[in-house]
Amino acid sequence: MRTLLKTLTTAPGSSGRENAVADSFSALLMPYCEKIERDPLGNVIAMRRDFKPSRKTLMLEAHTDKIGLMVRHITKDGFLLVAPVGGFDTKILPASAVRIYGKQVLHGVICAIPPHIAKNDKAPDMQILCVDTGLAAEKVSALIKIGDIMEFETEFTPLGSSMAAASAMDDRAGLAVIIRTLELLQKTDLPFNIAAVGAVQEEVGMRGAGTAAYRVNPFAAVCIDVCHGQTPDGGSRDTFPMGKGPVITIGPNVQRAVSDRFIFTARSQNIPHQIDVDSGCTGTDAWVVQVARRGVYTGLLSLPLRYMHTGYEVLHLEDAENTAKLLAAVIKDIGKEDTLCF
Amino acid sequence: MESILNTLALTPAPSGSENTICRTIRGFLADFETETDAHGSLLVHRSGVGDGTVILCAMDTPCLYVTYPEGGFARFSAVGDLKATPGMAVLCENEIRGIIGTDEKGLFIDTGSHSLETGQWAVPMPSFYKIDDDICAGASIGQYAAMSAVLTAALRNTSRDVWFVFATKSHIRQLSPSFMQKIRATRLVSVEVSSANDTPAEKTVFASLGKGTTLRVKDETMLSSPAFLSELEAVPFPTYREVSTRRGVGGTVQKAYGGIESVGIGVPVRCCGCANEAVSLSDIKNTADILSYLLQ
Repeated sequence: MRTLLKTLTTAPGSSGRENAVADSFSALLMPYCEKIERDPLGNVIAMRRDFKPSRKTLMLEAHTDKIGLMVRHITKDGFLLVAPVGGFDTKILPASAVRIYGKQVLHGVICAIPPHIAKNDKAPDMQILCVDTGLAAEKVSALIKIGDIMEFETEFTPLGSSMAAASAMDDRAGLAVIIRTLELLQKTDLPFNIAAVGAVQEEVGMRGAGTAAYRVNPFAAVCIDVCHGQTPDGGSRDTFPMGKGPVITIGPNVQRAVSDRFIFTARSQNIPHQIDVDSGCTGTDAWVVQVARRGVYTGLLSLPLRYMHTGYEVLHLEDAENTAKLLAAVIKDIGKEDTLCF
Repeated sequence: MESILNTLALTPAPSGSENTICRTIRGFLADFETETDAHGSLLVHRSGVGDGTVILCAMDTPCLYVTYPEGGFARFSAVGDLKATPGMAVLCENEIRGIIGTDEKGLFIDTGSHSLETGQWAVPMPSFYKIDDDICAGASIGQYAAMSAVLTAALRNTSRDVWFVFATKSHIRQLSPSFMQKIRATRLVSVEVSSANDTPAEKTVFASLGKGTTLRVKDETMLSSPAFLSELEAVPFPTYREVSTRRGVGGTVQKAYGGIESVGIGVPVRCCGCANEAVSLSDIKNTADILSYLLQ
């Protein structure tokens, strides 16, 4: 799991520019899938080996993209004004190191006003945040253009023996869970197909998963994403302890039968799990997958994640492993039944 | 080009009540077969070679809807990014004219001895002015400029298979991609309004009048396909990249059904959402030329 996560989190891929991470995901799926395609939006759609067009399909989905910044303007002095790609807390941006994907990969630092001369302690306005590349204006103009992407300059960092920090655990951890699930199901014959989907543009409005679901036309789908992990200063409301297993969502954005199936299997097989009651939109791809075509039986499994949408998001590796175990166990159960339903 | 813009700019096109502008555009396209979908969006198919391309623009403009009539006065709510201000002249449904006024409860439309009913629309008084040889101004002229560019391209010869779509209800954010059911296409070019901020005191100019067509890398509803964007950058017409904070019409269609490779381009417009906006005729012609070039 650690190696999977390292490979996936170090691949660039902000919303709309997911090619590199899609390539990594596709390569990691190769041992388990036989038909790996990219749709016009860039979604990876891979069919598990033993695919038969006549059979129904279960879709496992996580999103490939992560948050990033986009060059909006180059000043006369060579500084870069930026626009957010996805949801940012601007308080964490000043002085962050970024990697800029221009004609070549460049390094930059987001400008910060030192406290000694700051006029107030308000969060900076995204409209005026800029990036310093240290290069002359002419060089900047030659190498960088409007619309180029930049991402946090961070590394995959193990924390102790059970946790790891990286910039794109959201939702590369979900991709890792899908790969690990397919690995666990390698020797299992199933009476249905499995489509592994890496969806684009979740961070800018859940734009890719709906078109992927339209193409796959599944009888059911399980989306894997992240939720907020508990920290001492974060309180317990809407947060979940790390290392206590996947979070199974109950609420109108998922089908209760799917949630119940996950809870039943987790209890009967002693797989640690937690339950989240979400009364509206889950803010995940489950929102668009659920209403694709004529409607899709949809479930949502989430991994507790600390410091979401920052340069270092922290994940408990056991949570990812247990999510894959739970998903594989439920899929095996469905495979044993006469009718494909939850 | 100028006569098309002039005609369109004098035709009311309130969001949700696009029948009049639809008739006007259909008049220009009388030599071609046109159809409308259930939401009133107008489609023109020009058969040709290759996979289909959709050229999309909105056919509606920001407007006001009467919420509470009080004799010759009427309260209203705004649809889209229209900045209704006291003193703004408006044209209301059934040719009634009015002026926006204000009191302690807020803004109202003053229609004199005429009465408006709940649900009737009003738009900034349709107008068309030439400021110089290139710059034109008028109410919501930015949206009409985008329509003019698409209409001009639709009237020219094309060799590729193309669907021109004039879509309704974009400003109430209810643009429906249902027309895609009728269309076989693999690519979308969405023609948008770009907010030009090349005003005297502005130091950070994102879009300007008379400098060409913007290539919209990103807006609030769509990220353009990088490959398609690069293709457009290679056309022999002036273009420049833009990262926009506006909403566009393309996003809804981009993610319709199985998804479609998409790019947004924009006609720069000054004073977006004000009583009168300004556009450059050369920018509109340039946008039409880009579309025609793509379709050859």
